[in-house]
Amino acid sequence: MIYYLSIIISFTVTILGIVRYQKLTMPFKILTISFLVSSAAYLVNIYVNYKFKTNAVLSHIDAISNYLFYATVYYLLFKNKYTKLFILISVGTVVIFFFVNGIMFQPFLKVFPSNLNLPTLILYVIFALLLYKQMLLYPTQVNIIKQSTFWYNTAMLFFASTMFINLQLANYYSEHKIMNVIVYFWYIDNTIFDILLGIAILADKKELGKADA
Amino acid sequence: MLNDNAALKDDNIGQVVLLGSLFFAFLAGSVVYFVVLYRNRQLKNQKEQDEREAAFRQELLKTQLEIQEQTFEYVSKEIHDNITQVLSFVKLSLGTIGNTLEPDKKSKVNESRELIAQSINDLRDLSKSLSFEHIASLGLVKTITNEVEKINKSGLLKVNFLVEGRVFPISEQHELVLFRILQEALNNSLKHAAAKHFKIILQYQPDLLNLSLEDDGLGFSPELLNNKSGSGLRNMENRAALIGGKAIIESAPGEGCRIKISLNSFKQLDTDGGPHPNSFS
Repeated sequence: MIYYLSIIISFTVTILGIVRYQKLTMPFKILTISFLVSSAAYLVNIYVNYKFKTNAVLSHIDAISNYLFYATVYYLLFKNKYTKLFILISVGTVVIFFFVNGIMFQPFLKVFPSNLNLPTLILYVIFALLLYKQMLLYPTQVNIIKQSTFWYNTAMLFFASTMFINLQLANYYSEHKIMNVIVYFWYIDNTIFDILLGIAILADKKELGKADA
Repeated sequence: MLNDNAALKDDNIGQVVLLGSLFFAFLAGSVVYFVVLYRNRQLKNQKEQDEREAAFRQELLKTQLEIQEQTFEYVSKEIHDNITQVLSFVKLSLGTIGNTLEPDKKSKVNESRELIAQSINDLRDLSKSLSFEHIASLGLVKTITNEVEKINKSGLLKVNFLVEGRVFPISEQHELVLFRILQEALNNSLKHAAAKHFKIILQYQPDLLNLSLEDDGLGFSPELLNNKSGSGLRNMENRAALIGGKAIIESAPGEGCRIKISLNSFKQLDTDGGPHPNSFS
């Protein structure tokens, strides 16, 4: 049930982004593109899973593409040049690690890329906290509920922190034979994440973006 | 045994759900706390902005009154020293015309007409300077040029005015404040510094406007800036700050005075309620 709900919401947000594309600011245009890529990846995943009985390759690609998209959105939202530089360096490092991990530690075709996911989730939490700090330093007069940046950042903080804990508890689940919890948790987490990003796409307006600048 | 395992599994799931719920609650609480904090910042910022705008409006009004007062003083002096004198002379000249021979009459009438025409011109100039709206219509450069001409004509001070860079418009209010700072500096040079020369440089750079004022007067010790007697100078600094600029005042006894006002186009206050605070209107 939650699986289908998660898919429906993800596709709904993708369509919402496409419909509102012209009205969106650049960071949220990129977010919409990330949804499009994720949706396409999901469709490809169905075929790959059926044909090769594994989705490890797509998990690797999904992890790196998500990081590239979300980091780019953060890059555009931040004002501080050092934070922007930090994001650029992190992108370079994560891309290098993506290949190193896929070749040496968690093969692209066989293993889920937890080595790549865990550090990127930590980076998302750091970016989210830094963006909250920036928002407090430069508050605008726009109601926070109408600010796409707030929703995007809250989505990232929520997703990254909860998913990090979920992955950390994977061994515990396995040891106590309750692996289905991780799956349920995964879908619930993704669903809430997509809903929050959907609100961000819905709230984003070019005019507000100019006032926020 | 199987029942024990199932109970243990249920317990574990219960623990995970409890921990998960606690974490969710903590996360939601943090976000709510952030929202409250953000709202407080918004209110504080709004209050500060209102205060700044009120102070700016008050200072602007004061500036307008000072310019008006100075203009009235100038007009009064002009009427007394120039126009009244000329018209009195015309009156006397026309009064004696009856006793004059016929060929001289025409020449006296012509002379009187020329003097009256000159007085009309002077009055026209005066009427223009009576309104500070001319700053808005003429712009800062032309207004300063007129002021310089006026002072040079009086012979009290030799003023040199230079414009560098490509002139771009700034808001009327900012021009008014800059002009008032210039007037105050000219006043100081005339009344207190006994200066003979005064140099004005208006530098237009892509994102910066510099107004440099320099005289060759008596100068003063830098400590004067901190004293009450230097309140005119402090006033210049405060006014420059009010329009998002910075004033640097340098002087030493016997070495004249140099004032530099720098106005960064990206740091101006949003006092006009315009769409963006970081642009020249």
